[in-house]
Amino acid sequence: MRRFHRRLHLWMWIALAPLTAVGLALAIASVPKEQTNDLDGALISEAP
Amino acid sequence: MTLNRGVYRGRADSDMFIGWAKTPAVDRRFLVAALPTMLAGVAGAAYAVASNLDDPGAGAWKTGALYRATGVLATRPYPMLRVADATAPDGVRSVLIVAQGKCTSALKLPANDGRSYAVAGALIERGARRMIEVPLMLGDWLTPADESAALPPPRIEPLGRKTLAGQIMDTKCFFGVMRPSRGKTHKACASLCIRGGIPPSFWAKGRDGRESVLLMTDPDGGPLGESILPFIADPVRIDGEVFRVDDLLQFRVATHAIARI
Amino acid sequence: MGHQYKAVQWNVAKIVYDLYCLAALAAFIGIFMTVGLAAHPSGHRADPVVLLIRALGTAAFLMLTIVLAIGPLARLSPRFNPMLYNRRHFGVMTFLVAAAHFGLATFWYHASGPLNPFVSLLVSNPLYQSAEGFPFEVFGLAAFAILFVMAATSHDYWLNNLSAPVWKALHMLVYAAFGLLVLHVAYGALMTEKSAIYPALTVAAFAIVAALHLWTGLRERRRDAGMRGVSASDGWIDVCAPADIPDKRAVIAPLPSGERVAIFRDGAKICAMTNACRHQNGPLGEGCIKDGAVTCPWHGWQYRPEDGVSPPPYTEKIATYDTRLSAGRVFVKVRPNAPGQRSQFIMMGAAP
Repeated sequence: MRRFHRRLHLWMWIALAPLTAVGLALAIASVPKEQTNDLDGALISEAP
Repeated sequence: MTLNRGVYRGRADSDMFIGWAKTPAVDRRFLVAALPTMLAGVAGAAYAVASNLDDPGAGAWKTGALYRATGVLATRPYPMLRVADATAPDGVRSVLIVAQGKCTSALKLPANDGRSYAVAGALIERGARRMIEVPLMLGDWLTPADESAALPPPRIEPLGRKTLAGQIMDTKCFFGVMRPSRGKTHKACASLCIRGGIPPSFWAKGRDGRESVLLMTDPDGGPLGESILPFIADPVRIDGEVFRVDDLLQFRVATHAIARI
Repeated sequence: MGHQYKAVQWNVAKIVYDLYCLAALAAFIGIFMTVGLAAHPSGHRADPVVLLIRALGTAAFLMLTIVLAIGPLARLSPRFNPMLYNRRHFGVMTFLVAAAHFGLATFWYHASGPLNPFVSLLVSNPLYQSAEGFPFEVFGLAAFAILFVMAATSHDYWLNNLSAPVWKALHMLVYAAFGLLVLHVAYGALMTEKSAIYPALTVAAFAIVAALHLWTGLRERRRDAGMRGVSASDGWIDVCAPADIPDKRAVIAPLPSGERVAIFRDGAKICAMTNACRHQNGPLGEGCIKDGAVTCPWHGWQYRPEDGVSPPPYTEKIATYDTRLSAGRVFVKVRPNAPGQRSQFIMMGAAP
């Protein structure tokens, strides 16, 4: 590759890798937890 | 002998792979080992991803056969047929009526006159929940039925004020058209369905794994519309009145009582 | 090479390559569907269309991960060059699988509703301000747009008309597409599915690709930095001793300009030329001399060592550099000759 491409390649990864890593980490940290309830018998409509 | 910094040697192998020439033995040996290994890795990845998917939930969409139901037509809060059914808790089974696709407003229904009709379409079924999907090409999907309706009026039992955490989803996908029909990847579809007039439902899970599926209405028991669109398929907590109407649970909800968790 | 373009210039290596990729893809989809349908009891069976959407999406992500790993792996070992050789076809296949995923998901989730499916794609999921609710669809759409442009220009017609440097820079957008796809998965599937295997696999795929590219990229930068401080005041640089160059092979040296020169030895003859192949700017100096011609390790393009012209019937030309032997060292002139110009080169054992 030419020097321009070697530089472009490296700088793209230097920029992309942390950006993507932060985005990925933020997503994994904000995965919603499943919500459960104390359901009384009258509210049960489905078997498990 | 060392080279200057930055200066490096190219390949020193005895042979080099050239696409249009004969593949050298060293590359051949490598590929004979690497290609099956990669294939095994690909197969393993397919197995690992496919075998760990969440339970898509119960439900069936029986497109193969025309299902017919006869009963009293109700249009509020949502189009449904009240069908005499000895296996239902009070002898009445509610069968929701939706159109093909994601728009139910296309259905032209007669007035809510308490008369009997026969409806034909595809059955959508999740446990005891029933829904009939009417093909719009079918001209006579709704025909007046001769038999006199011997159904008692709807039994409406208040179950009190409840605060439930769970997810809003459309009944059509949830009752069996799409499995899975929960969560963010299905959010756009559920939003479109509810925008198109398909009744919204609320799904709440008990600590013991049992579930509650409630038909959502406005505080007066009328249809809920686009005001709930911003909350669909997100984890929400809702404060509302629960009623049992025939065999269906109804969650009467004001939009301002919906809180994102 | 020639000026007549064919859709594909087939040879045995390309056919074997494509058949292997197609077989691996078929195996992936087949296993995914079979295992996915059998994973839950009959009353809880997944919808085959949803499952196929997931199988295609997972396949496209895995394929792009592999495509992006091949380049740096081939920098680390020539054993990966056979995988690099027909990578273009693998890339186009990746686009087609992504297109099937995109088309089916758009049809299944967004069509036959009250909105145009493409409007729905952008507005059905409006929580742009939240991490947990962020619309994963836009990441996928942006990545797909990049893959489309790349697949559409994946032909030597475009390579030639855009010129290798522009084409190469355009195709580096694929790294951005990969980042967007990682986020598409993270904000879609990872937010929906509960098993910890999905974040683990996504992180692993991203980490492997990013580490390989950063590793090889930094290594190239160290090599480029090597020539700083080397005096070239008389217009010549000292590269190495003749014996440092293996026969039929090359030594590669950075020039003060930052470009690289490949110095080949063919018996007693030592010739220098640019390290960038005319085709895709592949590293000529990592190739060899075959049948008297310098041969690129990427796609086998050839040039005569003395003048940088492709052997007939081809007419491609690359820049050559003059060389001279002085005090037992090989010197290269910093200024290149015009492409195709016969260079002043070294004949070992000849009179100085």
